[in-house]
Amino acid sequence: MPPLLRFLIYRLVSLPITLFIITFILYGFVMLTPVEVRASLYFPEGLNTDRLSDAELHRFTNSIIQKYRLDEPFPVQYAAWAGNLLRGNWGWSPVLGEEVLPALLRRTPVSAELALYSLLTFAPLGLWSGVRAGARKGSRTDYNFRFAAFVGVTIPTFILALVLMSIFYVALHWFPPERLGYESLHYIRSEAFHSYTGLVTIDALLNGQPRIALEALQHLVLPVITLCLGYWGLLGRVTRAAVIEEQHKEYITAARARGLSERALVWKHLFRNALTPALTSSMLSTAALFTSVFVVEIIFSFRGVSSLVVASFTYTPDAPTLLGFAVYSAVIVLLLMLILDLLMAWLDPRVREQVITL
Amino acid sequence: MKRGSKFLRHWQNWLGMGLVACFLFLALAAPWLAPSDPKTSGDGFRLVPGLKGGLPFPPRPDAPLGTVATGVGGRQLDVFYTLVWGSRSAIRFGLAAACFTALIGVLAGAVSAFAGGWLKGLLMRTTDAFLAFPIIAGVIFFMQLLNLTKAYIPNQGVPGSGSGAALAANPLVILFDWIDPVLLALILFSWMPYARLTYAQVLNIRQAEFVQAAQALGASPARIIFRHLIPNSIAPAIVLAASQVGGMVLLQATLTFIGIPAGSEWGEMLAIGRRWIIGPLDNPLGYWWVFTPITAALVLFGVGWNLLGDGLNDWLNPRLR
Repeated sequence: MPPLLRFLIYRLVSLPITLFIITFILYGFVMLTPVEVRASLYFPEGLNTDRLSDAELHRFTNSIIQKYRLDEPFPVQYAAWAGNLLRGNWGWSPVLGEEVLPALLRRTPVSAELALYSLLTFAPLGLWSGVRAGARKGSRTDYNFRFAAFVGVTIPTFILALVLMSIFYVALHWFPPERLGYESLHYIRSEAFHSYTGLVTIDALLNGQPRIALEALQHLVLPVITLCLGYWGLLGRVTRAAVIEEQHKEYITAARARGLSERALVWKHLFRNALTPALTSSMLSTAALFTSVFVVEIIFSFRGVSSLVVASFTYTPDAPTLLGFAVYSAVIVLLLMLILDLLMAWLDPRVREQVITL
Repeated sequence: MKRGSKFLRHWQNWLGMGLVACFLFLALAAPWLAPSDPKTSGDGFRLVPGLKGGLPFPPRPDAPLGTVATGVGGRQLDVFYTLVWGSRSAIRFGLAAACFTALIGVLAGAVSAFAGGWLKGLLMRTTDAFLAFPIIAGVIFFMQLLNLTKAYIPNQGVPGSGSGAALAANPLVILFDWIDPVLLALILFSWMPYARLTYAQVLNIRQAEFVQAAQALGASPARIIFRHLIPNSIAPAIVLAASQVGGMVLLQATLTFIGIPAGSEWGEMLAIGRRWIIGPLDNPLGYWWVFTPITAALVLFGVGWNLLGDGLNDWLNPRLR
């Protein structure tokens, strides 16, 4: 079996194990709540709790407790809940008036679009500037980069967002907040607009509406800059450190002695070998990126996935949404980490071999 | 002390130490710098007595850094008071979060490296699982679970004052009485880097002669881990903890600002003053005092701990020199 395939199989097997541990711990905490909270995980579709009187709700809840054996020990309850999750039945939220899984999936493209454009901006920039700074350690370029990266990493996201908004929106009227202006938002929700991917910038082009695509891009500029600055600094720093460490290895000296041009040396040898540490650090900060996307989404009123849970701080939350959001976050981050892992194994044979010893 | 002088030669390290010392001073001297009065102040906020109005007031004798209009009955919050007392809670929160996180991570890493076998496998799998869980989801999960519990328990129809007793007996309520949900979420979802660091360190020295000697003398595993392995491999974890204090506080402030009650006074003040951050049309910076002092405090707090952490890292980690 080729090592890459073996690596893929190993990763695919460990994915459910990781998910099992996460959901196990989550439900463990849910077990500490009163049984009524757990009963609400099994509310049938279309239930409107406002129409029920307290006594009716109480009776109904009791029937759920009986039916789904919510008075039994933890493993039984966990198995029932996890089974429901696997069947795609993530529960009904009376607060949202929607099933949880479709509600989460419907809002995913909004967050995905933001994350995608940010990734496409900061990943190449971070790698490029990190390699340049590391290859000329101690130079003016290096010093400037380190200063900029430090500023980028230290400025809190929300303060950067506020500063950018007050300059470019309030003072200059260049980049407005929210996902789209009112008119365009109304249009993309109408029948005339066909949604292919859920990403407005791409859908608008496919619908032959370049004006809306441009408007969406204009709305994306500030959130993307806000998100990118910190991650650019982080990625750049790691890449720089990796390049500096590689620089003194013998193969570099050998390549230089063979008369390789400095340019080829940096991009063919140093960069390739510095990529693995850079990707590892990206993988470790995937979950943090997820958090940042949400913060930016909320500040710029993007109404992505985060709107499901953060709005709930103003009214009584409900358990299906809460648990659904937690599981959803873990699944998304795990999938992203899997992609990064495979990318790493594809680029670096050492990573593929490593697995077998674990 | 040749190594120590190397640390002191860089101005960045002096700046980092100076900033951290400043905030420590603010935190310790808070009762003298900004005396509190039970009638007007509490939880890091102070209403300026006798001052009413719809707009924020610029700096004045009874409010040295100006005020923020709350929008409720024209009451005015003192910026200076929150700046001073906020640094106290920020340092407390940051240190608690970083220390507990480091503690859990170091223990998990050391135990799994020393024990090996299935315990190592389980701990490393758990590390992976926690790595895949975003902090924001954890914070929301814990806070809302507590809110849900509180919302449901009074509905149980316990006669008389029984609902209070039922609430007090709930394990979740007891847990979150003891530790703040936000703090717990931050600790629970950030110990993994410490575990990885310590794991690698302990693996390096596990077969060292002094460990073997201790084993030959019949020392218990606990004694070997706590007396020999952890003291000899804790340096990188301390460095990481120092650079994370700032990050923890920034995260807390960010969460508070976006509307999650995470308990950062600085974040809350900025959220209250959000409407005033953008000034009147003829003068966009018209209410600068509403956000500048607090923002500066937050950024400098982060910068200070970050510089300190970076400096310690360069000093203790020879590979990056």
